[in-house]
Amino acid sequence: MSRTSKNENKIPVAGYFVGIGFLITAGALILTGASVEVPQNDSPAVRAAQIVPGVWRVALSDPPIMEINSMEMRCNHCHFIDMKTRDQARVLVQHTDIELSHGSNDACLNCHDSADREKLTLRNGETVGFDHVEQLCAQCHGPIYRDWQKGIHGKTIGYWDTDLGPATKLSCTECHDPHSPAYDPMPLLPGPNTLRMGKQHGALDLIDERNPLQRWRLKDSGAHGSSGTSQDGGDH
Amino acid sequence: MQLPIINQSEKTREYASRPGMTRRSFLRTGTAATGAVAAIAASLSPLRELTDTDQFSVSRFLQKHYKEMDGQDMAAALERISKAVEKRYDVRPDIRDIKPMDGVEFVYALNLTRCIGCRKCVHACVEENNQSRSPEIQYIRVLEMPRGTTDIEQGNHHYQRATVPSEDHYYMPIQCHQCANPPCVKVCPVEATWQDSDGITVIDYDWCIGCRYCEAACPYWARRFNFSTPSIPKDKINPDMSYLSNRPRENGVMEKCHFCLHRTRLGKMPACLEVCPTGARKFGNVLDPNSEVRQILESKRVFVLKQEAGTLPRFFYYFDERDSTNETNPANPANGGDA
Repeated sequence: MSRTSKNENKIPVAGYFVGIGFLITAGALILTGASVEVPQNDSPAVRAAQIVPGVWRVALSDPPIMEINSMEMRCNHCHFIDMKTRDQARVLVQHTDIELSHGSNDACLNCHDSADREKLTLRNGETVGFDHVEQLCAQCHGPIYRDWQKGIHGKTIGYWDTDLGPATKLSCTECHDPHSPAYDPMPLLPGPNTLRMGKQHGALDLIDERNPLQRWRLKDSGAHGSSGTSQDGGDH
Repeated sequence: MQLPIINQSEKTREYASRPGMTRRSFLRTGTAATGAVAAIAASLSPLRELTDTDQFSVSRFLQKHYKEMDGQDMAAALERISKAVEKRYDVRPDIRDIKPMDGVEFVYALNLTRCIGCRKCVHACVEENNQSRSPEIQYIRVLEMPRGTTDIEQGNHHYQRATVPSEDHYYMPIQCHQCANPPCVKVCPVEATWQDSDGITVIDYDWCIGCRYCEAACPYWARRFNFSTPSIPKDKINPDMSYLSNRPRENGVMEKCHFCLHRTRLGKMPACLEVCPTGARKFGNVLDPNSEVRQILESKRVFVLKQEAGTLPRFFYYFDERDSTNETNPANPANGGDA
């Protein structure tokens, strides 16, 4: 008997190990639970009001109608008395909420018609309604007007295929405030909440006296490496 | 651990007494066999969790490839998906299979001078396309690029500030470029993703096996994988769905931007364009000589990302001419006072 078993013992323990290994694996699989934990981060909530599609701001209609003390008022309801000309610059009593920040274009009557305040005035003396404001803007912003006509500047919403539905090309004042046309910096929505690998900001450190892109900035601030990319947030 | 040898029957004794079969060898093979059966059973045990009918149903298992389905097959598939969505989200979706239009090839153009990096496009896309909120899946990444470089390795998409834009940076949103020579399509081993005639590379979520080859092949990191079952709040479901675009996905499949094909194939603009506050995003049919994108390609200085990859993207970036009168803040792309 011992001789025959000697013959079998060429693979003495491996046979047991295979079986026991399987059993341990099975036990581990069952005991650890079937579901796999995926590391996941919840996406921060974004309010629907923050992602409203379409028109960015409400432009004045033609003729402009505004609600004052729940009465619908038109410009000429007041302006038939006040007929100042361009040269008679003065301190505003009304319309003090308007902040005029339009570069060298710094007088009301450059754009508003002095005779009819419900119209806009062109440089050639003609007037246009508030619904054709692009003709006014085009007098100075030629290349932008050219691009806007082709649909390159500005925004067209609705349908790209006008056979299937209407396309709305936004006018100048449906994006820009004509009195302060530059966009104000705006708050941003939350960034991705994904797993990060490695250092994210090391490469961004471009503060270097030799870097021509930084030289004028360092010179302006009078300090070396104190401003610029050191503001980079988001590193956690 | 119970060994089968304990209650020996006549039969097992007979086996055990055979020449070549000893008690020891019987124990050995018996243990191995029991262990193997137990291991197989344990490895299949996750199947116990498949209670949701949508995860595993015979009709889904037997469903044909998208291109082999006839009208009847598609109607059945849409009905099955519709029921599954209603069961899970309490919303009856309006789900269709929308085919590409003839004579249309979509192109996207993005004006880097105008983009301010506000990420509204990212979140409008999430809402429109029923993307998972947890774990988070987003198709658009907005890279904050330091001035003076076009090396996107230096871009950062985790930027967080009080307001944008930053004076020292410009912003470069990246999503699926709908390449004319798409590497993701080439590597798919099961043809679950392909390029349609209007240029949109689509995915059949029911055919995808989740191997992630396409994710690895994409040079733009445009493809996303569902590592676990997507979760979307019931009140956030967009019921306007199509088979190849924004119907809710399952665990273990790929997804990506599809130019909102459930909107754009019906003539509408994509959601990311509609929400952009600066008009940096432009979309249209490049075969139409009067389309906005055609005008941009003809008159602006456009470029594509990673041209050297040879992917021939349908997503173009461009800058406006530099404005010499914008003295106040030349670095600020939102200072829209170009003369």
